[in-house]
Amino acid sequence: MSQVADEPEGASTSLDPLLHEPARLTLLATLAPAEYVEFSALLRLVGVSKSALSKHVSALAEAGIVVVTNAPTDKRVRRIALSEQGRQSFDAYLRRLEQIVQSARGPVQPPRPAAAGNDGDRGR
Amino acid sequence: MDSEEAAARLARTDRSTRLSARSGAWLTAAVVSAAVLAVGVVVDLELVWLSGLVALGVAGLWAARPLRPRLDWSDRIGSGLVVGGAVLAVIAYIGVQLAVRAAGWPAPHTCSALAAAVVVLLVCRAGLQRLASPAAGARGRTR
Repeated sequence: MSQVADEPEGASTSLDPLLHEPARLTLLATLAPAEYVEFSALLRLVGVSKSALSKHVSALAEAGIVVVTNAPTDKRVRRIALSEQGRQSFDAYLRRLEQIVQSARGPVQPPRPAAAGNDGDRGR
Repeated sequence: MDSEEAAARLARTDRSTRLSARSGAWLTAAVVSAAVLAVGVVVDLELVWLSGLVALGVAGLWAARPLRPRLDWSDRIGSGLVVGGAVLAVIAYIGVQLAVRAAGWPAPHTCSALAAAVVVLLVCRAGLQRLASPAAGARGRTR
């Protein structure tokens, strides 16, 4: 029982703090289904200010989560892509979130057998 | 973090992923549709020399897409929609051209290219969108 109760706690502590910021999470979710996204498009999709997005991208690039390159057609255009490490970290983060949600649903399920047990020991 | 916050974060993540996949699919389908339409117009105008410029323009548009979707072809429905859409676009091109010629309307290639472009935008775009977000789709289905 304590194991079930401890699961969300443990999962919560193992969440990557770098990805925990809501804007960063939205940024990574936007990058996930793409090979790359240009900065201007990312700005529109994420919905934060230019300076805020720039800071998030810089922080994630320093950590190796995203890769910033220049477009071959226009060197002023920055393209942002998830690195392989970033993709793995993002997937791991999402798995942790799913674990938290599922472990919270866990204690909700036991009432079913308990209710069956109250119905005149049908299971015995 | 409690489970409600985690669920809210997951929902927001899925929403962002879908929005990004949708944008990428629309952009890609729009470039392909524009290419199909341009070919139809060039053939109708009998300006074959323009086809080189059209090809260059399409290649430029393709390379300058602000968002390039990451396609996972393992999704059967998605790949079926893209391939089926392409086949349907060819059928629409031929069918509409026959109808337009029978009716004696001008610019049969442009009309048929328009029909093919619509098919690409409706069917292939839906397939591309699915191929771009298989993980989000799978997460949504498991919930």
